[in-house]
Amino acid sequence: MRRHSPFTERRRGLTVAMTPMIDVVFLLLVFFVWSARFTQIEYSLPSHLVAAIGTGSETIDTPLEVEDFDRVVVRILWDEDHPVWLVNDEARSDLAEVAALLKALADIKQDAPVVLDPDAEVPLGHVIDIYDVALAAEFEKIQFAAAM
Amino acid sequence: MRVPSTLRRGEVGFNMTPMIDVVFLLIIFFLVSSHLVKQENQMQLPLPEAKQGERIADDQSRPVVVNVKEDGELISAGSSITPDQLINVLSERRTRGGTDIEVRIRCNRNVPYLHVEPIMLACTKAGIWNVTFSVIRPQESS
Repeated sequence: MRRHSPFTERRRGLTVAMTPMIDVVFLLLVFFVWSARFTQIEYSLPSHLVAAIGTGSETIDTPLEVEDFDRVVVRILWDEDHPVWLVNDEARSDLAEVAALLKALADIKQDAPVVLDPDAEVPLGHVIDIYDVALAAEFEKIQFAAAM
Repeated sequence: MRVPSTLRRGEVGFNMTPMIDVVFLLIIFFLVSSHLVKQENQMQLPLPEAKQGERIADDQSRPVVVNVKEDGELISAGSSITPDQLINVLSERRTRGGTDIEVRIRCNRNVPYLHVEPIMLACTKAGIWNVTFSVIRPQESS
C-alpha cells in the first residue's frame, strides 16, 4: 500500500496568470480613453438675478448721455436672421461696436447696472455674446430684464 | 484493505483569482456608475461661446442643472420638466439646502431666449439668485 508522505507531497507551481489582468487593464484603458475623448471642457458664466425685474424698454427714453446715466440697457432685437443691439436706445449693428461702447461706459461708471433685454426670438448665443462683452468691460452688475 | 491515513493533507493554497475578479468587477462598476451620474448632467449640447467663463470648481456643491434642448424642452435630473415643475423642484431644494443653491443652465446656443427666460423666472420665484450659464471657450467649439 502506498502511503502519502507530507514530505513528498506534490507542489503546485506558483505561476501567475497574466491574461485576466491584462484583459481588465485594457478594459480600463479603453474606458478612460473613451470617456476622455468625448468630454468637453465647460466653463461657468456667473450671473446673479435680482428681485426687481422689469422691462428694459420702459426705462430709458432719452438718447445716451454719457455724463448722466443710471444704468445701461442693452436691448437685443432679432432682425430676420441677425441681431441688432440698442444700447440705451442707440442702435448698433456690430458686436465690436457694442463692446467698445460698453467699455467706454464702464470706464465712466463701472458700478452702473447693465440690463440685458433680449427679444423672445433671439438665440441664446447672441445673448451670451453681450453678457460676455459686458463682463469683459468689467461692469460690476449685469442683470436680465424679464416680463413678470 | 485501505487504511485511512491522517497524514494525507489537503492543499492549503490560497486562490486569489476569484477575489481579484470580483474586486476588478466592483472597480469597473463604480467607475462606470460614477461616470454615468456625471454624464446625466452633461448632455451633449452646442453650448454658447464666451471668453469670460470661469473654470468650474470640482469642490463646489452640486448645482441644479437644467438642460435646454433645441426644441425648447427642459431636462433636469434626466427627465423632462416644465417651468412650473421646476419652481417646485427648486423650492424643495431651497428648503433643504438653503438659499446658496446654484442653478446651472446648459442651453443649446440656437435656442430662442423665450425658452430660457422661464427658467430664470422660476429661479426668482423659488428665491434662488445664483444662476450660471455653461459655456465653452471660442477656440474649443471647432
